[in-house]
Amino acid sequence: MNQHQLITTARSLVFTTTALVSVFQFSSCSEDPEPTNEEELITTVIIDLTPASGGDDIQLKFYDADGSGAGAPIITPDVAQLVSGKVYEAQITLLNEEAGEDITEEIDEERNDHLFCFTPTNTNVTIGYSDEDDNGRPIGLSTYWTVGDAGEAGNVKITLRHQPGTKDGSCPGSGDTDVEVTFPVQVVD
Amino acid sequence: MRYSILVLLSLCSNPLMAQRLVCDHQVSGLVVDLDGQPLPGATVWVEALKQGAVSEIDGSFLLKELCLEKYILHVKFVGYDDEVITLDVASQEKLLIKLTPNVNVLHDVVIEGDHAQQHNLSQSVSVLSNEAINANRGKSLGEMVAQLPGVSVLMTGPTIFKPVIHGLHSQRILILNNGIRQDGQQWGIEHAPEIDPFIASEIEVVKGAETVRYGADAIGGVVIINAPPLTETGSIGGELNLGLMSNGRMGVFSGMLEGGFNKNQRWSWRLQSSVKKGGDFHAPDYNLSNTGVEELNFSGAIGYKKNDTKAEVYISSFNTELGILRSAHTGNLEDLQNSIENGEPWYVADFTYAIDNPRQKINHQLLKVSASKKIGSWGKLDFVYGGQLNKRKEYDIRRAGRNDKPALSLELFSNVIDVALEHSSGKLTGHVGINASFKNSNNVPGTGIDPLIPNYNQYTGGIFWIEKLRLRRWLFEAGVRFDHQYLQTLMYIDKTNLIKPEFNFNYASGTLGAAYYFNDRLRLSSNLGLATRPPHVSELYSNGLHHGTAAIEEGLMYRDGNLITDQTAIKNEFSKKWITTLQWAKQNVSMEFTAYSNWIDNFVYLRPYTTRLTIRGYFPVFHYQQTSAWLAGSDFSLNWQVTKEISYKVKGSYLYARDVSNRDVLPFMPPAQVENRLSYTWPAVGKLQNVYMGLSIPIVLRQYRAPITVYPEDVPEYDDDKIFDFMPAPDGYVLVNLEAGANVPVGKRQLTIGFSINNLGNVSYRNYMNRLRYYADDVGRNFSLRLKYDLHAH
Repeated sequence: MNQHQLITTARSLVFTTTALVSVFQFSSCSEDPEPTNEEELITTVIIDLTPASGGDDIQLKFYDADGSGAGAPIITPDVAQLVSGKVYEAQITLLNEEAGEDITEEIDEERNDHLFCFTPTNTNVTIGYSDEDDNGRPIGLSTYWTVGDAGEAGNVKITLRHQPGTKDGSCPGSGDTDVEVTFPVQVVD
Repeated sequence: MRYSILVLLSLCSNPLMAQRLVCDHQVSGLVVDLDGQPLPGATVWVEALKQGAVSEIDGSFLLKELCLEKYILHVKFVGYDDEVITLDVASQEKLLIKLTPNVNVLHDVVIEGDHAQQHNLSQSVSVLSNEAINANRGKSLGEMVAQLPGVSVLMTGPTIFKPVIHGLHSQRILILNNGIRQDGQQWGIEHAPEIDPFIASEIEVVKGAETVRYGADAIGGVVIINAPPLTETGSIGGELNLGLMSNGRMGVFSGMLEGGFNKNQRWSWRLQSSVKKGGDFHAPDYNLSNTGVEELNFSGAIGYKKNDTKAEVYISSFNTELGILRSAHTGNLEDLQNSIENGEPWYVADFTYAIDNPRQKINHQLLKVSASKKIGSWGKLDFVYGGQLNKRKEYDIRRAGRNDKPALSLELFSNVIDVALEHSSGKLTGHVGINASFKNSNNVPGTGIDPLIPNYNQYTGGIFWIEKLRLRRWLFEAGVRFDHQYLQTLMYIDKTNLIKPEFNFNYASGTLGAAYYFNDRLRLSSNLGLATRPPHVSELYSNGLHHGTAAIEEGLMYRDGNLITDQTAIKNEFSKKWITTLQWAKQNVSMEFTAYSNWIDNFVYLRPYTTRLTIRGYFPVFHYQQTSAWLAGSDFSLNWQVTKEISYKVKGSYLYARDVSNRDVLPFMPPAQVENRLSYTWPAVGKLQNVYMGLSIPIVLRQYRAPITVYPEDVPEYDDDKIFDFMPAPDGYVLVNLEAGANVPVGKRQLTIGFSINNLGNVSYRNYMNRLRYYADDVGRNFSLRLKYDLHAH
């Protein structure tokens, strides 16, 4: 090949490369992304306990602002003190405080697919359902907590099971866990 | 294997040897297959003279400088049985040599000739031949290449397969799809290559770092998918393929048409399409609910060829939707614990073709423009542009009617340019080239979930130089490459502040290799590859909960869950791999043994560092970290043609992997395995040709170097930093596979029938390399039928 050919080839090569690089530049003018609105985040679980026969209300609260992030959740109170012999009506509220949404409504709308499970450990509390879905199966947004004899501090674990199409009312049953929180609980006289 | 050795040796043979007597006779001949089709590239070797010839495009060859005596000829061709014939120069005018295709599932060969410039010749390469691909039609790409020694597969259920080469996968393995590097969201274990295996006529796997030629993502090896070359003939040809499988009740159909434009035979074209539909797979004891798959692919090519100028435009579209085992979606550790305790999936429904959440929907579009031209004495100039658009949507099980909203939606737009000048002057051949790439990856808004990895723009530019020197029985090669990468990522912190961290990576690679041909039967090659890879965006900035693994993953740029800005903490991964292969071939036996040792500094991998309480309960937090790793092992294979009818094959591989810095094991490393295969061939039964039956027995051992076991329920109390797994490595297993097949002439055309039964005993087993092994057994018995109808008239 002679020099002329080589120069021509080199020139066309440079041209092509330049052209393509400018295509790159053009196509790369990507816009800044929008921040994501976390729609399914649950930041807060609240259980309001109201004694049926009068007495002090108790609120259990689990708050975690950042989902799977490193921020530690805040659980209040340190140990919830339930009074022996009382029956409490319990109401669960789920919130997405980041978006200012009440997730409880979402769960209630999909009540045929959701089930709260309650597991007391080392504490004398029995929990029964006081609501049911369209198929006559429990939901667990409303429950009653029957408190037995006083004792050491234990736990009540509350899980929200998501069981689209497979809910049969048993715990834990099928499906996945959307919420799992554990509250320290002690029965006092 | 033998063929290439011979070609090379014939180049190296001593010219002084042939000049003694009056030996100037010539014999010409033709090498054809059983149907009389010419076989170009076959080697005809005259053992006594240590010289030979290679057949031309029309199958013809010419042997020169023969004396008036009898010679033994060895005729060898890839994919065909060797033929040994006696040539009597005095009586013979023209030789007709018919070769029988070997029905062996795999044929490991050293590729030279056409492929000589594609990769290092001193490198260890295995090839899945056209026959082997045909015998596995309907399988995914990953599943196919896993049959080669040293290659295994990382699975997410029965539909997602990722190739693993000597223990490395994902962002460390480059997949070259018809000459273009596959750019998809390849970083995740559950991201399968978006490639239709029906386009391939041959798949090569390079088992060492090929970063000099291809850049950083080839640090662990390369999978090269070769489409057949376009034909310039005026007539139209093609093939039809049909595959039916009992497990999953799957059907696969593909059709290909090709031809030229009559006028001047300079233009040629090909159109190809394939469609696949399968429902739930089943394990021996239960259905694997929601493991269906759908695929619709299309590709087209048009080529131009005139003298030494070639150009081609190729487009392809790959579209798939596939279900992920319903039971494998875990909300938290307790769910995972229950799955492991139950020992079988909690959700088992009747068979269905319906694909429900969790599922993936992937569309991959590719445009390739390539051209090459010989430039006088300078050599050949190659230009390739590849543009790709990859869309990945992952749908999860969500609340409040969000199931139709993808939980992850990524769009990757990639552009690659490769320009290389190939030169050849006698004993020296080489390659100089540049490549440039631009990638733009975006999270498509509207998922309602914080993205797992940030948006990014990545620019890479590289320059390389490779030289090969042939000296008699030696082959030497050396290469070097420099790259620069600019990476810009875009992400939000605290929902309000957009930050755009930028990185500049400079890195180099080098390779040094040699091969020595003792004789036409024995070849030893050795290669030392030094390769550098900057961390991928997913390794830098992953952040979030992984539902498949019930774990929170955090990138290198996070410390204790918080973003850091100090980039000095990030180092390029640096691999030093030494690989040596010994190949030996005789008439009826061939053997290959490969040993390797790979030291990787700053090896990026996930390691648990803490347990975190969230509103969903406790999760282990895995952190991308860098360590010194050592991977060493060996592969071997032996093919023995016991008699004309009976052939025996054995292949196996072993890998030892170690986290040197932490004195620990490495996760997801393939266990040792051996496969024996025995087959019997009848040359003809009535009208049927190449009738064969085969029995193969793969044996997979338990991974004894698996991480320690920490059951999910014990994770909250686990405070060590040793790498762990949620359950012990599954036991080893032995499977029995049967196959049979034949060619049926249909007029001038040919129908190939193949039938196989995999997992004949319907054995229940779990595979250590299957990420869904926590939830369910692997697939059970599978009957499959494959039909291939060749439209080319013979």
